[in-house]
Amino acid sequence: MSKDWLGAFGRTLDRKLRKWMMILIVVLAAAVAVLVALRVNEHRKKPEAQVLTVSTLTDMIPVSDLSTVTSTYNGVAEVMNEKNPDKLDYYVAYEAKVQAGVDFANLQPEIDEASKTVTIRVPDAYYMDADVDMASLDFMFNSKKANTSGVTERAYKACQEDADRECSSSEAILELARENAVNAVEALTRPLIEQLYPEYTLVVE
Amino acid sequence: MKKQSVAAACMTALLLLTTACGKAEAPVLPVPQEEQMKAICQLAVLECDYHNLAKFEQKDASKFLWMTKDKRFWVEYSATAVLGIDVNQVSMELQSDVVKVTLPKAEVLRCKVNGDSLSPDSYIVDKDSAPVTAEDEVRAFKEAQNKLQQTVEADGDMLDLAQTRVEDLLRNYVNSLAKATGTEYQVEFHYIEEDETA
Repeated sequence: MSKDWLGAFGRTLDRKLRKWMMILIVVLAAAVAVLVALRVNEHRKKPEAQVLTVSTLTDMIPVSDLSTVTSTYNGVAEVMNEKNPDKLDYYVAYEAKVQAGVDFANLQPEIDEASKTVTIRVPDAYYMDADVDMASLDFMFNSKKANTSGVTERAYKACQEDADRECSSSEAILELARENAVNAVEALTRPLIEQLYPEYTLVVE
Repeated sequence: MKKQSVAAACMTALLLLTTACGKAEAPVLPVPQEEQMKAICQLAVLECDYHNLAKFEQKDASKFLWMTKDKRFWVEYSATAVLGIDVNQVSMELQSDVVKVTLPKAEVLRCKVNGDSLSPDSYIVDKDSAPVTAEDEVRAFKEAQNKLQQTVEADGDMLDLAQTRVEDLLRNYVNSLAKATGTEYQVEFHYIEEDETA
């Protein structure tokens, strides 16, 4: 009697153990699957840790219209008499759109890993072009004889020469063009460095 | 009994996930920020040199018997104008992958005549003009200064350039951030109409 009871107890225990073992295996397998899925998802979303290089910085600054600045130049050209170059024929006022800028391809980014400083040096600005508006010409004649049918053509040429000469040597135009380029470079890089590489300090000069 | 076993199995799974291996941290991706956009707009100002010419004409400025003379002269001067947008009105909203930027139109933020750009050579007087006095020159300069703001405000090309500059810089910021984080954004600009700002 007691032997039968013991045998029956042993079979029940064995069945229960097997059942528990199965449950445990299923639970463990499910837990592993969930963990693997979480890790894969995390890897897919997490941005790869990027190293800040000169090339990364160069990529942040595209060569674009941001490197140039247009100014308005209202000037006055003097037109002398063709036969008597000491004699003034007339003054001619004109309006020109002047372009000056910085070549972004010549920017010099440097990274100092020791001090965690990024320095971008902006080169000097240079004069590019002046476009005189023909419709803007206004005359002040010194010699009434100079007011002939061909006066506009000669005046336009004189205005273009005057604009090229005055603007290419204008410190105000070149300084402002460089200042605008410095601001553009800073606007292109600072927010990205602050967000993506916060350990670095940016200097644009 | 069966229910108890299932409940126990679930508890074990929960314990395994929450205690043994720890909770996986949600990844934080850098996203476009309004503060950064405002900083960009601050730097996006367009400083330009305005070499200007003020033209003055006064009919019948002097009379002698039946003869009258007009006064006509030009003044060349240079000024600096700063064009940009009012940063305080810039706002940004991120909706899924769409970056909506609301901003005002570009305007003349400040302008100033460069006093040292005036010299005796700056005044060009018509040969047939009535004599130009020092008072005329002072009046001409004052008028030029007053008219400068209007002149720059009327320069649609320059204002368009300033506006494009702001848009280009903001778009570049969002695109570079998207590229670095392996995401994609669409940038939309919404302009505040003048009557909305009033």
